[in-house]
Amino acid sequence: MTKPLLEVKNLCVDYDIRNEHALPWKSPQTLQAVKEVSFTLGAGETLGIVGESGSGKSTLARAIVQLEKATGSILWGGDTELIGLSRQQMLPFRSQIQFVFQDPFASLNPRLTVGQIIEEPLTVHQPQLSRTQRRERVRSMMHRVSLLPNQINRYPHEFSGGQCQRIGIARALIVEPRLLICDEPVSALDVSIQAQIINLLNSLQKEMGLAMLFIAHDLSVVKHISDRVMVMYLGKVMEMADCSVLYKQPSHPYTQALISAVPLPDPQQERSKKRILLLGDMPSPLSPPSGCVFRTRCQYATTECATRTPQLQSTGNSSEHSVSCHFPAVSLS
Amino acid sequence: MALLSVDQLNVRFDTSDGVVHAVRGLSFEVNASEVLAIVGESGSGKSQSAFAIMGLLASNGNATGSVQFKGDELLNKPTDYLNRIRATGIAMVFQDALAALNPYMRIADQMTEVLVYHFGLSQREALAQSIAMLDAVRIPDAKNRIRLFPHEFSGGMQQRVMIAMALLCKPALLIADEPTTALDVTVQAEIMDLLAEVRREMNMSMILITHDLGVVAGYSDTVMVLYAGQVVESAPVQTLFDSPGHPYTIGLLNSILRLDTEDNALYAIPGTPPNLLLRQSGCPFVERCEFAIERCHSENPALNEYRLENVTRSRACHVEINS
Repeated sequence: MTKPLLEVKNLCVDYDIRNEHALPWKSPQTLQAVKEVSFTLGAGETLGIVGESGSGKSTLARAIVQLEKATGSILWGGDTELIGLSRQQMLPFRSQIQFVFQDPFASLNPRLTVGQIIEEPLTVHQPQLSRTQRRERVRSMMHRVSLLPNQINRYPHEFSGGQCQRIGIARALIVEPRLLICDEPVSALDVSIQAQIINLLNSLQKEMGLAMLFIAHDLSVVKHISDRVMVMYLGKVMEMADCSVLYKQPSHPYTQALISAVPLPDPQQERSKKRILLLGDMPSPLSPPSGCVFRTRCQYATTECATRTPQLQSTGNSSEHSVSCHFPAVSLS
Repeated sequence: MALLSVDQLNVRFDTSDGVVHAVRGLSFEVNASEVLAIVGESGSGKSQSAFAIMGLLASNGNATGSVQFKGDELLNKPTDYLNRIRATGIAMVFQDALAALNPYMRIADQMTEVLVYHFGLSQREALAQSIAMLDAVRIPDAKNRIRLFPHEFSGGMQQRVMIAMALLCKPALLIADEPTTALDVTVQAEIMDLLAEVRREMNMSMILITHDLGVVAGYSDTVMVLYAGQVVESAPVQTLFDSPGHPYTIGLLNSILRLDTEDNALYAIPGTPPNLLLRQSGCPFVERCEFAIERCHSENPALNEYRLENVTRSRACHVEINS
């Protein structure tokens, strides 16, 4: 069996939070943003990560590229441990793992032209290239993301949101990474533009054999691009399954609620469907509930859920389907 | 008589780059207890038409046409005049609740202010009514939490506070401008259900401004699709989803990412919306339209009313489409 491209084991990210009114000798509180997350990602595969805001999806992505301090293990290419690497040691891996950010305007330097923005990663990661070689690469990359050649000397503010996102994608892909992490790449875009960007990512992935981590809060977006989906809540993995399995047979009450909350663009279906409502708000991550973190909003919760923490376990109907719940429902009727 | 009737509303902004025609020739009516959804991409003029109705345009904005609420003309009326209709007649819920609430005032002060101003209630009565309204929008422990500041609430709770505040004076019409866009799907479902429930109970009309066709499908009676400041199509909700009549609507419906289909090939409308600084002669959608004919480039189609299968609907397109 070939080694997976990325193997994450027991990844935890903790923040020390100091209350502003706390006395100086008090020790800070610990906020566990990501708790014991494990998954593997093969070459060319797409893993979708969904969850509400505050569920730790972005922190997880940032931890993988060492933008957050994490504990646990991140094995790259089956042999290199990324956690604990210095900035210098990390540099070669940065060209293999690239990032596309949510806000298309904020993630581009407003003082650089499009050409300079897309070229910059090359000057860092492939300094042996000459200026003309770099320009050539920039031009062909712009063509691949459907930007026009005459736009090379324009500035980001002259572009629409969708075009800025194309620039961001071109910048990420110019160093030919093996893994692309997309953090909510389409949530700031209009519906008609979202479809364009999703199609672009899908076709580039096929061409370049990219692996992708695709983070979104929108389940329908994730469905269209992912092979497997991981559902997170309060920093923990609630459920992980093949895309087709997860949407047909969601086993975790949280996944079921998420899926049932997505409005269907069909008046009859939308008005007749049964919706699973979540109780209350997401609890503060500073003091998560005991036992199962979801139990405060779960309609099936029992006393067992408060005392015993469920582990992520296989559901049995497929080895790829695992769920972290004491009472996983069989299917959503 | 319609509750609100808008006739030939035009909104333009004088900017340093030129004149932006944000809304062009918008006409529609909202009847009592009806929900009208206004759908469009960013820059299609959906929010600006709402702002024009409420008299909230930016200082470089200029509105012409007519907006009548229960027979009273509202457009370009002085603030004093509008303030009698705001909140009691038409109230508005904004997209970004945190930005719309005053960060320096406790919720209690912001809410009671409305009741004291419009109904001359005493502070004590106003507070009691405000707490009752927060209870009604299901804010737990409203009695104590009304003393908090806006930033101390979560996004969903802030939106509930906004809705409670808009409902305080029992308006006849609520304009909800992207009320759930900034929220998680689970919270969105709760807020939309809440709005639907209070709307039914208070027999209130609503203009629901959104870009989410799923929300439109679930919560509206009539849909108006805007593109580049113009109405391109308007129809009852079921009709619009069953047989869209304008190429833009067809494209929009095809490009939605859906949970209930297996097909992974996704249709995308090519291109981007036109620059509103440049006034084109033809149809605003012509550059992105796959049905476009010669005439579309030179002549902007008017919005025509027609009947199909006993449903009155209208669209602005030169081309016959059998969908």
